[in-house]
Amino acid sequence: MFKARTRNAALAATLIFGVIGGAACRQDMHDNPKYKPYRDGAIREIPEGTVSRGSLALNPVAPKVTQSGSGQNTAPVQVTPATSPADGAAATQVAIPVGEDGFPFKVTKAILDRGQNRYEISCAPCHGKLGDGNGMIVMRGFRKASSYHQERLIKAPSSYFYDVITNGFGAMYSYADQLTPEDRWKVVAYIRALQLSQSLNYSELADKDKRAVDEADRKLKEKTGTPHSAQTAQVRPTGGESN
Amino acid sequence: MPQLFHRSTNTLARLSIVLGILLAGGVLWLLLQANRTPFVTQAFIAREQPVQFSHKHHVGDDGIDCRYCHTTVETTASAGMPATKTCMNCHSQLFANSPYLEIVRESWRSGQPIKWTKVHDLPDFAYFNHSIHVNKGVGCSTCHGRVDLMPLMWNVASLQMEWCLECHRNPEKFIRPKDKITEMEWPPTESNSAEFPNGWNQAVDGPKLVKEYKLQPTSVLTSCSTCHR
Ligand code: HEC
Ligand code: HEC
Ligand code: HEC
Ligand code: HEC
Ligand code: HEC
Ligand code: HEC
Repeated sequence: MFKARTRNAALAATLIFGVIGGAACRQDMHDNPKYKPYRDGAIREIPEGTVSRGSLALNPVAPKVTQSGSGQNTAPVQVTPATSPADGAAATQVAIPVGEDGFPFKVTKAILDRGQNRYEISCAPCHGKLGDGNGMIVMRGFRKASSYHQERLIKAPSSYFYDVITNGFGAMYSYADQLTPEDRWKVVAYIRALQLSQSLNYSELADKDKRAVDEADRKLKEKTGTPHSAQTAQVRPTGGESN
Repeated sequence: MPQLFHRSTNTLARLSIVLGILLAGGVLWLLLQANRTPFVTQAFIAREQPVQFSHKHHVGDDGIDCRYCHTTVETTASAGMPATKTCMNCHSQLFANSPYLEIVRESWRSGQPIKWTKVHDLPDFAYFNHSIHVNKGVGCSTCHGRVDLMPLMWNVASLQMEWCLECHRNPEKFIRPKDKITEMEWPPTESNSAEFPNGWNQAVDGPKLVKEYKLQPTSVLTSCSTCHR
């Protein structure tokens, strides 16, 4: 009688502690025999001859590089940014130059915003936020990246930029695996806006943007004591939200 | 026959029952607490990697965005690990002869991917997806901590179920604007608060974002089949 009771107690204790103690131990269910990305910490090798989804040139937003002038919308696109309702003042109206062959879509504020976002992730480390080719990585000793503000690149067709992103150029490797074809075009649209922003004059700005430039000027003066010439002030290129 | 035990031993006997139960409970509690310690969860323990890759240098000092390397974090379940080519974008020129990068160059020549030591690893019976979190305003630093200060990677969270649930029950305490997800310094401090002239107040702004981003009700987010599917 006594013996049975101790045995039961011992059994119960083993069960309780066993279940609780074992709950957190690694078991087979933690590592099912199934495929997951980075199972062993490395990208799985891609079997020869496979084509990853969405990578084909058939992608509708990746049109052929066309002869000059035969693009889909050669007319300059008017970007009309939504002005913030708070102050009601109109922002500077700009027309994004489309280059000789244009874009496969209509350039809108939303597209430029996406382009800016991707540009600042993928390109700005080398080309800089202004596109002058003096990004952080160049400061650390990488070959100087091209400035987008040279005559040759201002005149280049938009598809040339798409081509450089897709196939690389000189010391710059291809960015095809980091940007989808659609995003590449959006980045190009943003580069066009950057080019425009650097050649815009103070007198061409809308009042709202002039005020923003003056404000930035005043702050800079306070900080450094050196006045910054408003005539050459850099205007943020997203059309509306210059700051 | 004389009494073997004094009357007072009755109390002792009763007490020993209570103490026994308390002791068993205490041991249970200790076990559960032990489960939460970094010794078990491996939190805050930096892992050795085949290449001395430093997020502190690349993110903190050079300002490279997470998405330059972890390209799929906004679109798929996995954040994505950079291919060797991504390293070579820069290291074809920078430190091109550094012995620290020999493994990267070897991988580039042979086409064999670098095998990183996994830091975060959920059990396979739990389902996690980066894109939903990132697109609904949960930032990297909320779950991964100040990556820009880590010379070698470690995890700052236990990754246990209670950790997931703590947020799924009250997402308004953690959510932030979508365009700030890769911001490491959050909530904004003096130095990066330009866009929030009135400061950022999680108690007021959090619930607003929960509405704006149309988060699912907590009953859905805490239902077992959300994570065990
Ligand atoms: C790792 C640094 C780096 C990054 C990141 C980078 N580039 Fe470049 N890029 C360069 C360098 C360096 C050159 C000049 C190459 C040369 O002269 O050999 C260049 C040149 C160019 C050119 C000019 C080609 C010409 O005809 O002069 C374009 C256009 C360009 N890059 C676009 C981009 C775009 C768009 C991105 C983002 C998707 C990008 N680059 C990202 C380094 C970079
Ligand atoms: C220059 C490329 C690069 C950039 C930029 C980068 N990472 Fe990484 N990341 C890596 C590499 C390579 C690894 C694998 C080695 C390691 O774990 O340290 C990694 C690993 C990680 C891991 C751990 C993965 C695991 O095994 O569980 C996390 C989390 C992470 N990165 C988050 C971030 C965050 C957040 C940012 C932005 C603040 C970022 N990374 C920026 C390259 C990068
Ligand atoms: C956008 C450019 C860029 C990319 C992409 C990049 N690095 Fe770097 N890397 C740098 C720079 C710049 C430094 C110097 C860091 C510093 O001192 O601030 C560096 C330094 C290093 C060092 C230290 C080298 C030494 O000799 O001290 C290692 C190791 C390294 N990187 C590994 C990697 C790996 C692995 C990857 C791919 C996941 C990678 N890097 C991707 C720019 C880059
Ligand atoms: C809600 C919390 C959460 C957020 C927000 C989050 N992560 Fe993660 N991350 C995790 C978890 C959990 C894992 C482990 C996933 C696994 O093992 O399946 C992980 C794994 C990773 C890995 C390893 C590769 C992989 O996917 O397994 C990288 C790299 C990473 N995260 C980067 C990032 C970056 C960059 C961001 C911000 C853009 C980010 N994470 C935001 C929780 C998060
Ligand atoms: C800091 C907050 C936070 C943490 C930590 C967190 N989550 Fe989430 N999770 C969210 C938010 C916010 C959503 C988006 C809810 C929505 O879509 O309405 C979400 C959504 C999800 C979804 C998709 C739900 C659906 O119905 O599609 C899954 C799956 C998920 N989380 C799993 C996890 C797991 C597993 C963990 C722990 C490893 C975790 N989460 C940790 C905040 C978090
Ligand atoms: C927000 C996501 C999430 C939800 C909701 C969730 N779980 Fe989990 N669960 C997890 C994760 C992540 C783990 C893995 C924890 C670990 O690695 O220790 C886990 C682990 C477990 C385990 C194994 C515990 C262990 O230590 O091995 C059980 C059992 C479990 N969950 C049951 C449930 C039940 C029952 C529910 C519904 C009431 C539920 N879970 C809801 C994320 C979730």
